[in-house]
Amino acid sequence: MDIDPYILQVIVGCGALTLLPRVLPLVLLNRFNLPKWYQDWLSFIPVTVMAALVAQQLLPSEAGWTSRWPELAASAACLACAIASRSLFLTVACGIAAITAFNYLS
Amino acid sequence: MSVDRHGPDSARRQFIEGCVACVPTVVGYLSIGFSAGAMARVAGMSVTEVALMSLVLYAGSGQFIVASMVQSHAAVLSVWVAIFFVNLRHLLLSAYLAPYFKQLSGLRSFLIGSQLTDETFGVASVSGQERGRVPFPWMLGLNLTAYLNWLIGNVAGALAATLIPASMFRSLQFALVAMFIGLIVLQVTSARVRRTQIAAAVLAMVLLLPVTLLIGKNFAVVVTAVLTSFIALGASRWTSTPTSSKSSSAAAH
Repeated sequence: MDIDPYILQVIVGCGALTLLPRVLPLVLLNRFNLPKWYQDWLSFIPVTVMAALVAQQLLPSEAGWTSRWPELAASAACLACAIASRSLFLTVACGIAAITAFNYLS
Repeated sequence: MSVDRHGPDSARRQFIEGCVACVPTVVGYLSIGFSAGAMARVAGMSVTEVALMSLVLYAGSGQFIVASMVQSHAAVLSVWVAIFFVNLRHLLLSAYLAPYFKQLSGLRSFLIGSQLTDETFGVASVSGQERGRVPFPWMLGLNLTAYLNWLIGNVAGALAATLIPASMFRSLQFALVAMFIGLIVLQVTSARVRRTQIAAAVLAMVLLLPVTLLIGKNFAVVVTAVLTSFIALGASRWTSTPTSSKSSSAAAH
């Protein structure tokens, strides 16, 4: 077993600190009836979190927006494919095909 | 532990359905896991360490950050702080799913939460919105399939790290973007009030850049999501569109 003590500390600590936010709401919020405005607010969380994650991946690199064109074009292809197919699998397959093609062209 | 009221056969069927629901994300898990494992190996971690990290940390973006910080020999405490802030968004995901698991014991809730990721969350929230409930065995099947594929992807990447060109990482990482775009569209499609959901998604994408510039990358996703959801809530109240109460109907199950 080749595990460095430094790496072990990093992994175990990071794992524990990630476990807390993953588990606490599920375990604690189980017992309460939460107000309506909170439930309505929560209904926007999936799209806003995922949209923010997508935007983060598409942020301009140090070379600016133009270096991102393969990702941006492939995202547009993905969006079209997702709306047309309503299939997660086809969307991911389309995305991989598109980014490979666009990276090859760039 | 309470016995599933639909009997063991039904529980097993739900578990398998959960595994099947994970299948569209498998391509994503394998390719992101592959590039996360390869990058960690390139950063100087051993295959055993990569495998351990994928099992203990089990978070894509977090593992990329660990790899780059380990490569620059960052202090242990600074890695912990960075990962804590980056993974704080799980608070939101966990809080969103909580109403769907209201009748669940603490141990089972812990089990589900401990394997929560952006991707399994996306699949579960779409399914929950479409069917009004998320059965425990279904969630377990989804989680375990994702966990296993993540491990396989990471180890394969760590083993192949020296063989693949760096340009391939860029293509592999795009699987994540493709997956989230698909999940957003599915989420919006199954929502009762689509317009505000679409507006919220667009606003979140627009706000991420200024928020990142203002407070830095680590906090950006959490703050953007919280802020945008409040704006969307305010807008939906103001236009007095009847908002959905999916969470309460899910709890009624």
